[in-house]
Amino acid sequence: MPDKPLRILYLDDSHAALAEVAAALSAEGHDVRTAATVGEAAPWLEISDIVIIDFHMPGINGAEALLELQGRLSTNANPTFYLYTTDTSIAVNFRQHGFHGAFTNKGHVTTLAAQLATAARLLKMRRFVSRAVPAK
Amino acid sequence: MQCILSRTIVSGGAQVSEVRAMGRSRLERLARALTASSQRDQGEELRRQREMTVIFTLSGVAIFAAFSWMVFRQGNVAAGRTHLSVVCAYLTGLAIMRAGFPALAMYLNIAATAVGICGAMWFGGGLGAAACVFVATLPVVGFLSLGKRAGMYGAGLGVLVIAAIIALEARGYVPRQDAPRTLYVKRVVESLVIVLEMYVLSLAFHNATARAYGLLSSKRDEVASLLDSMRQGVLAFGQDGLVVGEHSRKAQAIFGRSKLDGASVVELLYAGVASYDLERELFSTWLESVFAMGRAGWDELYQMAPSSRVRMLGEQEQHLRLEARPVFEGDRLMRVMMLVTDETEEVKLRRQVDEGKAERERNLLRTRRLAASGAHTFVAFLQSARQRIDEFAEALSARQAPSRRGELEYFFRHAHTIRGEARAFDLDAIERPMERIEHLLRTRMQEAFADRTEPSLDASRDELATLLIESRKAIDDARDQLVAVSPIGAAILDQVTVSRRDLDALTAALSTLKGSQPEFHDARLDALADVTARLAARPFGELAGLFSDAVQRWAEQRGKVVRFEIDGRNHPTPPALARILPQVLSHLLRNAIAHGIEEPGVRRERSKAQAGLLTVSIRQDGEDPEEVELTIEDDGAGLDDQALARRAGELGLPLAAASELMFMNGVSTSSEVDSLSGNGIGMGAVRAALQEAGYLVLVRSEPGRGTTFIARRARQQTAIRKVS
Repeated sequence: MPDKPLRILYLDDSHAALAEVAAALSAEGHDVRTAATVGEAAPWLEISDIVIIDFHMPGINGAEALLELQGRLSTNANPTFYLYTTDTSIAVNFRQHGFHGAFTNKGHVTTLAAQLATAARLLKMRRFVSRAVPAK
Repeated sequence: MQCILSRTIVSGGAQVSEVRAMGRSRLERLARALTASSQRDQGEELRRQREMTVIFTLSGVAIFAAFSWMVFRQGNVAAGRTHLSVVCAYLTGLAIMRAGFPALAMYLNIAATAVGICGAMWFGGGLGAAACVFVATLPVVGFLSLGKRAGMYGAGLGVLVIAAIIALEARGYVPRQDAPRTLYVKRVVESLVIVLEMYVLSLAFHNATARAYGLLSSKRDEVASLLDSMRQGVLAFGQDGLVVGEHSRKAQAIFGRSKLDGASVVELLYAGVASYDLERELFSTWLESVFAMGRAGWDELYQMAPSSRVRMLGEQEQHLRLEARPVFEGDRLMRVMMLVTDETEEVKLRRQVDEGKAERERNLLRTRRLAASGAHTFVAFLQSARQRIDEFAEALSARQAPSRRGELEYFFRHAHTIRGEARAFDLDAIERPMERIEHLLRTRMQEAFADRTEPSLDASRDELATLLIESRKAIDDARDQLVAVSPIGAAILDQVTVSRRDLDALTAALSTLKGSQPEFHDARLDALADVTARLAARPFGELAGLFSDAVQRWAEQRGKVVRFEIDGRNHPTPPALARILPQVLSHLLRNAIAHGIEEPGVRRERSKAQAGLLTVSIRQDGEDPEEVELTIEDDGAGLDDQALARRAGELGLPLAAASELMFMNGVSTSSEVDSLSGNGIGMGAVRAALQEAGYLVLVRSEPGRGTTFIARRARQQTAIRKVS
């Protein structure tokens, strides 16, 4: 069980993958929302801590989906976007695609849970620093 | 083996705890010393150059300013200007030094001195004094820049310069001063004295510096020694993430580098890791954050620091535990000291123990299952497998190993059968070698088939022999484990499952046969009756073993510790006794726990082992199978005769022997009535049940040493054997 449950939004065209990830991460204590399209994902953007986006989707790739979602973001919302893929050649270029990070080994939910735990610590650290630095 | 491994882990853990127990403040002091010494090292050269330049410049400024004033007063304007220029040059040198170029300043000052001397020579006025300054500075500069020997050369050169000036003046190449010769000689002597004084001063300065550097070096060695004696690798890094200052040899060993200075700590920990690796990013972000936040954010960020790292060294994993300690200057974080512990061996040992435990638990579970569900099939497998292996081993050890195809096929089938059966019983330790034997035999047969020759096992004889030994040992281990978990001990190896209905039918038929022809007495019929009686008798351990867990539970209820032992596990229990044994044991064992065995504290005071000993046993006590002696014995407090008598008196009962009183219904010495004891009815019921089955109950007790209940066949009138 994480310190504080993360609000996770997972965008993937595969309903099986959505169900599997949602079940696994919910079991870890996270609040998980799933979406099969950008349109479905958009309403949840504002209240999500982490947005996980599959790269290979029909008609749209993860980078394009990210751009579209970022276009719908309000200035107050600041979720962290993670690419989710098995393809390490795409993962290596996550920054070029506009993502904050990459989750690899897609389909292995245990690995995803471990990666998410690290991402949660990273998020906590960044939030702490961003809160503290203006105060200084 | 497991104990050794566990001990090793515990010992390793203790060492780790010890190092942890060093405490944060001590580690922080160590970190401060570590980085302070490194800073001294780095600034040493710079500081020496600065000191040298300042001394040289200030003395030069003072002397040439004084000369300038003197020659201006004498009216020698040209010499005065020259000297003032030199002063300006010195001051310029100071400015250059402040700008961070002390060496350049030093060279400028030397050049200025030379110009000053030349000016004094050509324009007159204070030549001797200027020369004195020059020769005085030579040894100082030489010493400070190059050491003691250079200082001496400088002094020698200074003397030569003075001699040269005197010679030049004597030959008229240099304008003579107006001063009388005696005064000039006096100045030269004064110059020599100054040179000497400066040399002495420089020597003193050198010694003081050497002592300071010696002390510093010694402290640095102490720090290095302390670091090397630690179990952890210790290194420090700055804001740029590069290793600085001292680091321990252990750190070098952990990271496999002879030199860590200047290495990136991120690269050390995450070498070969992809750029998208989140652990790496977490550490990099943490590194940036702690230096950005300084003291204000340390406590919070410390909690978020990665505490472990698994490095991949080829195929091998290296498990590192990481701890960070800050080195602050004011609120600013100057360094982070990192303690790196290589826990690879501990992790490996822990895994081995865990895997071994899991394997043993699997084996135990499997064997318990077999024992509970009737082990005769398993026993039959063990026996047949053993026979087959022995047969193969014998054939293999003959002068000529099996070489005909038919022989190999015969043993191949044996191995195949054993392997299949072993798999059915989940016995990996037997299955594995059998699989290898099958492979070897199959290979030899295929080779022979291809070569159109008879197969030969000569090449594989040694390996096959080893595999057979391994299999035999695995079979023996499985058999021993079965006996160990079996409630009836080794008797499990000799048991078959018999239908109670068939047994009753056989007994009835035998009884009918004997009854219908009482005159017909045949020894063979008696033998048959004996065998039937033995078949009907269950092993004692099967019944007594039912109480193993219950005894511990009852003892726990009373806050007592009990060791329960069963003797005669495989002894047949006569059917009449077997029928009432659960009831009898239930009462007597509860009673022993409630009234006999003392609490651990009391036993300690009485110099007894904290755990009370409760033993049930059975043994043959005559020729008839029914003639057994059942004993329930404890090493507790013994019967409280006075309490029994008092209680009986309260109830108006006759004061018979204490051992008889306890069997009377309603006589209990216990103040509390609970599920375990106290209503005084159980013991009476026990005796009644035993008497009904044909057994007498006898009691023997010694205060402070324990109580023994003995049940024997009623027809025997033998004296009670003292047991306790």
